[in-house]
Amino acid sequence: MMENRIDEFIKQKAGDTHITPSPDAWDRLESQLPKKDRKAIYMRIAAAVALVISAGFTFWLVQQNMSGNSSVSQRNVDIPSIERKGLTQGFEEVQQLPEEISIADPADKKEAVQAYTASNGEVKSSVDHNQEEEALPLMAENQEVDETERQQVNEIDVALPEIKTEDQLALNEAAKNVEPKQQKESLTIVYKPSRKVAAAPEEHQSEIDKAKKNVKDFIEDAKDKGDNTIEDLRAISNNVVALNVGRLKEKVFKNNKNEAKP
Amino acid sequence: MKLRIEKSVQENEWIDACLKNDRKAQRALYERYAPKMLGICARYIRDRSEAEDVMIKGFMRVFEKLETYQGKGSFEGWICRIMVNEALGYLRKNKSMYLEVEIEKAEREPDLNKIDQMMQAGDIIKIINELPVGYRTVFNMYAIEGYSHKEIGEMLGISENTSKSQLSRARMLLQKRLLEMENMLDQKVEGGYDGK
Repeated sequence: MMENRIDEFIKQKAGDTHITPSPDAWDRLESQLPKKDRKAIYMRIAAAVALVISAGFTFWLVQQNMSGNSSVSQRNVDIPSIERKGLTQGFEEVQQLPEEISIADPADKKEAVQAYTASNGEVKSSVDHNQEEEALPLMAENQEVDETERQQVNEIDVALPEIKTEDQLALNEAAKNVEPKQQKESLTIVYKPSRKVAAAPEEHQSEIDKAKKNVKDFIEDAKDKGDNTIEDLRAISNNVVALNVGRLKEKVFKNNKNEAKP
Repeated sequence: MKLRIEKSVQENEWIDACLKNDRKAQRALYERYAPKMLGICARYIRDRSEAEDVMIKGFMRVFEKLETYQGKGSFEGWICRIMVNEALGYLRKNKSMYLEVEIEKAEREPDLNKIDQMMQAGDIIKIINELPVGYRTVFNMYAIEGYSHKEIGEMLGISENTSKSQLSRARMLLQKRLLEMENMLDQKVEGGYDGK
């Protein structure tokens, strides 16, 4: 009985004793703790890898999205969503792209198209610039120039390189401007999926593979060298992003050209 | 209840951060538990600086083993067990633990109520520290940490009976010592001692 009371007494008195350690105790403990945690480094590398891949994937998605877009207005809707992902810089360049679509002065286009239509419908042989201009009112008044005329324009447009007429230059110019004229009327650009777009994912895949390989190399480096390579890794990340922006810009430009010149 | 939940959330955050070798979290964990852990080590190890070394090693072990903490039971309890094991490891290495000391039975039981008013935790720890190491260890483990004789036997590599006999001898010594304290206090109180 007394024994238990002693146990109780001592437990109650000393069981929860707190003694403040000497001030240098933590320093002594810290000096024994692992200096650099591999795990922490790997976590950061993993985060960087995730960033690179997700950035790549985001741009791939954007590319797909933009190629498949049906109108300018829809594209404009996409812009804020990309900015939200923190890739503003890349997108500013893209935003400027629609302006490139308007290739020349609309008045010139109209003139050229009409001129070409006129020359096609009326005078297939040698016509000079002045003659075209003269033919213009003819076409406007001519009841025969109608939908079929326009279709003919398109058909010939496709076969354009083979056509050898004296006013080749005028023809080419006209062909280039057929589509922009339509843009001007509707104020929208209609994109059709093209061969280029279908090939894009594969190309992009190789880029991603390249990036992945680089990242893997740097992870190996990071194991040997430690923290310093994080900077390099970031540089790679930036390069991949920049590459994607560049490719994206190029692709949009190409698509526009393809539309203008199918 | 709310406080308890918050505390455990904070603990979990610390643990997660410590697993990433986050110095701040490690330090926070240390600051939170070091005084109590040093209190434990000081009960097992008489020399204070030795006790502190053991506590530091104990924290090393805590950080090393943190991955294995399953979240079962209290985190503090988990750390306490690691500290006790560390202290036992130290004692095993440095001392021959099981001396048999002839103990005369105390002439009477000490008046614990009287001593209670006069004694501080530090005084009790001093008394525990005066015990021979074997008695001290078993007494600490059984009476304060709450291990069973079976567990103590396994942890110290002794039989249950040895553990029991060490405990009863520890109690006899403590009883005797407390009685001495009581007598001493009586004298000092008469002489105007305020008990501090």
